[in-house]
Amino acid sequence: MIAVRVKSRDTAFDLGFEEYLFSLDTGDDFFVLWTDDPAVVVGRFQNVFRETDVPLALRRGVGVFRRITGGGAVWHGAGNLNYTFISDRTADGADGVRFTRPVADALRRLGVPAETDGSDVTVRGVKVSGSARASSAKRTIHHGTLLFDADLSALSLFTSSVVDGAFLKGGVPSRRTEAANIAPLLTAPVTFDEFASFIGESVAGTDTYLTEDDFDLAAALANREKYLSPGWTYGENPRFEFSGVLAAEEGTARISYRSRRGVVDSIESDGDLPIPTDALAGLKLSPGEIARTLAGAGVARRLAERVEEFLLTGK
Amino acid sequence: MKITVMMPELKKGMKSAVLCRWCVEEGQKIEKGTEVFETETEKAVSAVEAEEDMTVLRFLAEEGDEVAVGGPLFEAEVGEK
Repeated sequence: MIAVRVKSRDTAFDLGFEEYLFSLDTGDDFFVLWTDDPAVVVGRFQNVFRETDVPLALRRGVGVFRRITGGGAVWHGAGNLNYTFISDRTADGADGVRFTRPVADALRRLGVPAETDGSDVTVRGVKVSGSARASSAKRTIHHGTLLFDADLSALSLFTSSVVDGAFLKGGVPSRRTEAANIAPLLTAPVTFDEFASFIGESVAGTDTYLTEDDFDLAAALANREKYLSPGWTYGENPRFEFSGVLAAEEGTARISYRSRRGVVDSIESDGDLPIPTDALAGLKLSPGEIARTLAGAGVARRLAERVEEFLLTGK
Repeated sequence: MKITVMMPELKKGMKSAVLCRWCVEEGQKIEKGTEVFETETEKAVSAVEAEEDMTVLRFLAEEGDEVAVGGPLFEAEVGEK
């Protein structure tokens, strides 16, 4: 197994680097450790707007990204150690225990009574690590979070302000479960770096790591562009339906729309709020696009921005 | 010859999976090994490939549908020269 410790804290690069390793046809097994700056990362087939208050995240300088594996929205940031396994796909392609068991075993060596069901690692029923996978015909990528000393309330700041009831159907929903940090559970305190080193040695059996500099950075950087592109983050949104009531100073309207592949398929507005729905039909659902289009159609800037926030969050 | 392609059992004991994304279009001629659709089950995304050369005729399930193992996914024409 080749152990890699990624120095970058750039989520788009790290996701792109993972995908680059996943694409290699060398037959090597990889174990990768990485940590990012604050970011929300949604699962492959989640409705990013239902899972995250995207306008709020962007205003706060928090990145919003879509990964290639399944599952729900997670928080990346200080105190959270991400790990990734990449290996040949087994006959039972969706088996996660072969990846999560070594992680749970490593925690038990630290005195933490960890258990795993192949998806989460828990301590007395409380999640300390979540994970997700993707498989191609030949390879499997399995990655997860290890909540060492993470801000457990950070994700909810960007998920709780979305009006979930406005998003009627579509997209894989997140499962909100109780989570806890690992650091307070340790029998002897260690630093984050010591914890990461221990996990690496326990799982990969080595204290020698490659970094991203030892690989084809051009390929990884090309993938980075994918993770930064609205066409991926928002354009790969699954089909969904939305309906809610927007109350603004200028009036009130019930607005309903359907979206497929990140585009407004159809939209209706019923009320006294002057919304040029014709201008929005066929529009890409992307922060900034809606407000710009409405402003171009003669809607006052403030109302245009209010409508955009409503269509993307239900607020 | 026209065939109906069913949802495979991607994991032992699986009863169904969500068809998340079509990777081809109706009417498209594809080769064996082409990724046809992606599913998600228990947080695992799987890309399913064509087992032979074929022409995709008609989708029988929509993106977002939960399809039982053995349930119909799409019709295809195989064995064309």
